[in-house]
Formats: sequence, structure tokens, C-alpha cells
Amino acid sequence: MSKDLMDDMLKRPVRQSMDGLNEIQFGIVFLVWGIIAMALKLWGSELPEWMSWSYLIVLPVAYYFRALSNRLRARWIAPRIGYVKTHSPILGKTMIAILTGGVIAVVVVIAYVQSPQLRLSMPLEMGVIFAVSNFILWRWLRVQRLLIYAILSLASGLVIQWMVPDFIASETFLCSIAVIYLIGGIFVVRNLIRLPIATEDSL
Amino acid sequence: MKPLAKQAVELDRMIHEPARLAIMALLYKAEEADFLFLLRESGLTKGNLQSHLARLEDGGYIAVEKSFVGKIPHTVCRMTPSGRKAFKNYRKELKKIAGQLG
Repeated sequence: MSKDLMDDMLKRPVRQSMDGLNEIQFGIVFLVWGIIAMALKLWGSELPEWMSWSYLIVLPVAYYFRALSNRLRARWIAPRIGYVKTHSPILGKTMIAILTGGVIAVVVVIAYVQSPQLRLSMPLEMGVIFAVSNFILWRWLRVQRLLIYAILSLASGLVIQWMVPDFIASETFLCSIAVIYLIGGIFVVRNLIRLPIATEDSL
Repeated sequence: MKPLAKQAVELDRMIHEPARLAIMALLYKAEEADFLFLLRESGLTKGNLQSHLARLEDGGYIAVEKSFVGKIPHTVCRMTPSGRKAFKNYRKELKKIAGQLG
């Protein structure tokens, strides 16, 4: 077995877990966030006070989406392509990547709060961040659609930066990313569901 | 440094066999995986996979758990700590040999 093939084999459990349900999950969270943010910007004064806290409600709900997507995975996906459970990140490279990402996110948020100039070009910057993240993931896993997400993220960042009024541009970007992930995820899940169910007896 | 041939001979024969190497590589980054996943990803036939899984289980490299989901049999495999250590060592040795070959 060549080194490349072995490296590829080692990545397959992680690749298998990219079955579209994660993208649907992210898509729903981003869409809800985008809609809340847009509603607050457009009709902020007319909305009840608790709406400004509703961002935070989405996070625990998103966490429970995981349980739901795991159930759907067990019911729809695993009988068709097999079941694999990857290691939960404890102190490995994945955890270091998550922590680094978290630190970068905090630095970016602080920079935005401090600088109005940065806030003005937020859709473009978010587009670049999403594009780079997807590109890095694609380089690692070689899942082609991640490259498509990278290109679409960058393209939507550019388009929204120039076409959409500044006061609502970031929210529009969030919604557009949500739509990209939702369409991608639904497309992948639909293709997987079309596969026949395989049991150990029927193989 | 040991001669190249000696290093090659000392490679873990249980893992060095291509089909078993594929199974071990697939299980290394997974906490557990089922028979269907291993079958699809390794490209082995059902009988072949079963016999290699049995050999790896006998060698203590993996643990195999057979159960039923309804009336359907479901086999889940996971690497044992000793299997993980053996695979890590195998990769290390293989890298050394590859490094010497240039």
C-alpha cells in the first residue's frame, strides 16, 4: 500500500462523517442568526426586548440539533453507507484547531468593535474567512464540494460587499452562506438516501 | 542503525498484509466502525473481510462486537489499545524504511 493510499484510508472515517447533515445543521443556525440579525436591523425598535438576546438561544438549540442529526444519520445514512464514529477531539490536532479558531474569532470581534473601518467591509472579510476555512478543509479531506463552498463564499462576499447596502450587508452574507450550506447539505443527503439499504446479510 | 532488510523483516506481519493494513488504517482514526463501512471503504469481499477481521481479533488488535438491530445482524469493530500501539509502531517503522530508501 502506498503512503498516499494509507493517508487517504486514515482520512476516510472523517470524510464519511461529512454526509451533508452537518452542513444542514450549520445552514439552519446561520439562517436563523441571519434572519434575527436582519429583523433587529430593520424593525429593531418595534420588536420586543428579548429579541436582542435571541442569538444566544440559538446556540443550545444548535447543540441539540447534533442529537437530532445523529438520529437521522443512524436511520437514513448508516444503513446505506455504513456507520463510523470518529474520536471526539480531546487534545489532538482538531482541538488545537478549534481553540486557535476561537482565539482568532475573539480577536476579530474585538477588532470590529474597535474599528468602524473594518465593519464596513465585513461581508468581504467574512467571505474570505469562510473561503479560507473551506479551502483548508478541502486540502485536508479532498471533498470536492468544500472547494465549491470556498468559491461560493468568496463570490457571495464580493457580490454582497458591492451590491447590498452596508447597514444590512453582514446579515445578508450570513443568510447567503446559510443557503449555500443548506443546498449543499440537502443535495448530498438526497444522493445518499437514493442508495439502496445494505445489510450484512444482503451483501 | 539496523540494516534495511532486517528492519523490513521485523515489520509486524499481522498488519503488513495489505487487506489487514487497510482495515487497521480505516479503524485507526475511528472510535468504532461497522462492517458495512469497512466493506465499502476497503473494497474487500464479504468473506475476505470477515476472515481478516477474525485474524485481527485473534491477534488482539481489534475488538469485534456482534449484535442485532431488529432482526438484522450488525457488526461493530474497534481498535484495541494494543492494536493502536502496534499500528503506530508499524507506521513509524515503515516511515523509517521509506526514509532510508529516499
